[in-house]
Amino acid sequence: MKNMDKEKLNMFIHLLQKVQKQPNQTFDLGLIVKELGSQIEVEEVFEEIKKIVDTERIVYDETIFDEDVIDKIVDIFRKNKWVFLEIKKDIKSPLLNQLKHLANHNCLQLIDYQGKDIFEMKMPENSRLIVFAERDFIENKISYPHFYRLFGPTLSLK
Amino acid sequence: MINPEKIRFKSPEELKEEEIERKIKERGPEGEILGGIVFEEEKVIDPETKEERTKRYIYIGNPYEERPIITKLETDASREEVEAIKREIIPMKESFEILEAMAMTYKHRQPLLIEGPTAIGKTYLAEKFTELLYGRGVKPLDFYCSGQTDVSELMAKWVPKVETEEEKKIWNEFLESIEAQEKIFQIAQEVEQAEKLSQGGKLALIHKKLQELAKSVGLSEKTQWRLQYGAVPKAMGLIRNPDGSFSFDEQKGMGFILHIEEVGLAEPQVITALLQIRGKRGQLAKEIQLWENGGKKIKAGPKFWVFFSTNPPEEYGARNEIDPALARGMVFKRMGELSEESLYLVAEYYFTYKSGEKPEEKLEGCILDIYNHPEIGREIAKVVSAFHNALNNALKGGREK
Repeated sequence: MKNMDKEKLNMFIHLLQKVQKQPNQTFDLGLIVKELGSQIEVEEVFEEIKKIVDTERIVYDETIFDEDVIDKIVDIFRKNKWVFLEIKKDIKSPLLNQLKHLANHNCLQLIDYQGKDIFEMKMPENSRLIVFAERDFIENKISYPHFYRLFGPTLSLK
Repeated sequence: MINPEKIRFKSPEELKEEEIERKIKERGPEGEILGGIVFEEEKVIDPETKEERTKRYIYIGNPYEERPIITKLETDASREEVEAIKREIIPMKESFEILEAMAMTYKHRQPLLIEGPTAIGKTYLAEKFTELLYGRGVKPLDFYCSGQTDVSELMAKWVPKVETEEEKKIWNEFLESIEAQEKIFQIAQEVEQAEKLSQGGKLALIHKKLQELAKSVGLSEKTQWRLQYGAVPKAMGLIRNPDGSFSFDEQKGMGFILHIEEVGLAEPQVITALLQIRGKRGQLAKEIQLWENGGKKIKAGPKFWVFFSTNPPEEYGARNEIDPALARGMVFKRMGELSEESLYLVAEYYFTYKSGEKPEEKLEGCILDIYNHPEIGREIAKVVSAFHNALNNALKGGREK
């Protein structure tokens, strides 16, 4: 990773840590976009983030179901860590619902989950969620038309 | 001489109404809105115990109107909570238009649909309205629609109690297939056509069909099944417990607020399912019937209310207008972009720290402590709101071209 990208990544993390949206005082979700032709590997980006904040990675692809991803997010939040969510397939409704909850209220809200009729979990103050996806994938595979609006700071890696 | 016959004394109720209207329309020394939401307590005699107790109410009205329509609602929130929530609502004309519509439709048990552009406050005000009724920190049950929304997420589904990861994988993969949708649709049709069967008989039929389905995809025939209700029946029968948690009772639940967002993105089968919540005379249905539980009726508690929101169709590109049948069955309010005055008000609130807390010291990297200089904040607000307005117009122009 180039020095300039490292600086950008540092600023990106700093913004996610410090900036609260008004008037509801919520923290933004972050988006990292790998641009077409970029040589940067996702592992490299994840390792760099891990040097700054305690983070765990989830890969959302054909081998994993939404329920499992949500379980993992709950688990990572319980450990007060950051979530690095790599998106490799179109986002299905259960996960999209939780991403929207996190973006709007910094909270997860699930029906019939872990023995509760309504399960609510606030995103811990020291946790954040970053989504990583390739530009080409976002433009051509993500069907949700307001995908970019889920996020605050966006880091473009060329 | 005054003709005594023309003198008319006002009743205590009329005087109270006038006082509430004055408070709703209250403005500060610079003309700023202070009213809009009013908290009052009333002493009432419990008809059963004959004991006196205090009930809390909020009154909501649009302070920008000469003769606001004021709605009185019972609340669990305290005076302090209502005042704190009020401070978090930027008193824009559009905010009060939305709150007024929410209060009126909630009172009359009518579903409300608001179509309006991003960032006019639909989601935020749904949250604040819920807090005004239930206290700070209470959020509505939120459901976000997308092109991928499945009817079962909103209504109900049968879930197998799988024991191994392998079984879970088989079942989830099957559920995502078109074959699964077809087979489940067939079961629904068979159950609905079995009119002569009792509810118990229908449930037995569902179990039999589900066991056959489980076997056909490679699961054990003895798989146990659990009925999982979706967002609509859950909201109809929720009970808010004193500790803030929720429990569910499909017959005796009080009901809760359900906010269905981005309904303009939902596929036709989802809209068809949602049409069930329309009741008589524009009100919400008092109960719904689901084939998944053998046709057992689920009652809507007295506090069940549904608020739909969506963006205008032009923001969705290829999406169509909101389904006319759905729009007809509810109070439909269409909102435009925020006015110039409102954009300035938002910017002014932000840059003069009227909303949110002032920082204790100058933040790292900041060259100016504007939180100590509201006059500078107001000037910045003018520039920012003018820029936002120009940008909105330019984007709109681009869309039209």
